[in-house]
Amino acid sequence: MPVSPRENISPSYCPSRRAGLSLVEILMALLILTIAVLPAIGAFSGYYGVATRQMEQEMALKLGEAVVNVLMTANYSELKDGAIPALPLNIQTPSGSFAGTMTFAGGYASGTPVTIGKTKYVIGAEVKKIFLAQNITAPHNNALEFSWISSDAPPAPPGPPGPPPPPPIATYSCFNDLICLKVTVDFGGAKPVELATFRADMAR
Amino acid sequence: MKNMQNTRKGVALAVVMVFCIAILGLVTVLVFNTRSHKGSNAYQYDASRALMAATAAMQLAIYKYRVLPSEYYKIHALEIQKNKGTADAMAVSVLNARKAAWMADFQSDNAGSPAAKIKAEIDQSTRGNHSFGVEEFSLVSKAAQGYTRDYLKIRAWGTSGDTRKVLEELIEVRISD
Repeated sequence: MPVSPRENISPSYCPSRRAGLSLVEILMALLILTIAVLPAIGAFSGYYGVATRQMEQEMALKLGEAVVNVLMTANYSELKDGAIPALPLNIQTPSGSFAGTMTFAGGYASGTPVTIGKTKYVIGAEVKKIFLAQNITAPHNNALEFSWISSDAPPAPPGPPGPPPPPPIATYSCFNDLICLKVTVDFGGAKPVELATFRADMAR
Repeated sequence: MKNMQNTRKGVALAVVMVFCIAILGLVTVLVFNTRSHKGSNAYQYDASRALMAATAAMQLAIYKYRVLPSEYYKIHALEIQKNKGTADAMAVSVLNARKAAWMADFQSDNAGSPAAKIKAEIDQSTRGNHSFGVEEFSLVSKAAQGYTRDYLKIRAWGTSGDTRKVLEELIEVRISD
C-alpha cells in the first residue's frame, strides 16, 4: 500500500515548528531594526534641516550682495541725502527672476519681500553718513581726513642748524559726505544676514 | 536533511545585524557630513563680509587718489627713479616713508585712520569683526604704438572671522604732464 507524503513526515520536520522559530527571529530582527532605524531617521531629518538652512542662508547672502551692488551704483547724491524714492531691484533667482522696488524713506529702505521657493526673504537697507563734508566757515572733526608726507619742507627756524626735523605730515579734510551702506536680509533663520560696506563719492 | 535545517537557524538575525551595522555606518557618515556643512555655512557668511570689507578699502583708496592725485604722483616719480636705478639711498628712504604714510590711511588696524573709523562703523552695524587694508597701490604704464596708457592698480584685502578675501582693480587714469 503506498504511503502518502503527509504520513511520511517525521515530527522534527513539522512545518508549524519551523514557522514558530522564524517568528521569534523576525520579532528580534524587527526590534533590532527599529533600534537602528530610529536614529537614522533622526539623522536624516537633522541633515535635511541643515541643508535647507544652508540653502536659505546662501540665497540670503546672494540677495544681500545683489542689493549692495545696486546701492553701490545708485546715484550718490540722492542716496546720501535720503532723496532716493525707490530703487529698482531685478534679481535672478533659481526659481525665476524677481522684479521689484526698494522703497526708501530717508536713509532707510522698507522691508522688500522676495519669495523664493517656500522661503520669504525680507530685504532692508540703511544709508548712514559716517563722514561729514568739511565746512570752511565752521570747521568740525567729523570730516574724512587724509594724511601724507608733504614734499614742501617748512622754512628752517632761525639760529644755529640743529638735527633734521621729522618729515612734515600734511592733512586734508574732504569736502564730501561719505556713507556706509548696510543691507539686512531676514529669512526666518536664527539671525538675519547683515552686510555692510563703505561708499565714497566718485563724482568729483 | 535535519543538519541542513540546523545550519539555516539564525541566518535572519545575522542578516539583520549586517543591515544594522550598515545603517549605523550611514548615520555616522551623515552626522559628520552635517558637521562639516555647518562649518561651510559660517565660511560663506564670512566670505561675503570679507568681500564687503575689501570693497570698503578699495573705495577709500580710489577716493584718496581722486582727492589728492598730485601728492601720489610725487611718490610715483620717486618710484620711477628707484626703478631706473637713479635714486640714491636718501631718495629711497624718502620714498619708503612717503609710501608708508600714504598707505597708512587705508589700514583698519591703524588707530585713528579713516579706515579704522569705517571698520568701527561696519563692525557695529553688522555685529561682526572685520579688518581691511590695501596691499598694493601703484601706477602701471603700458606703452603701445603712439600712446601710453596709465592704470591705477589697487589690491585691497578684507577679513571677517578667519576668512580673507582679496580684491584687485585696474583703473585707467590720465596723467597730464
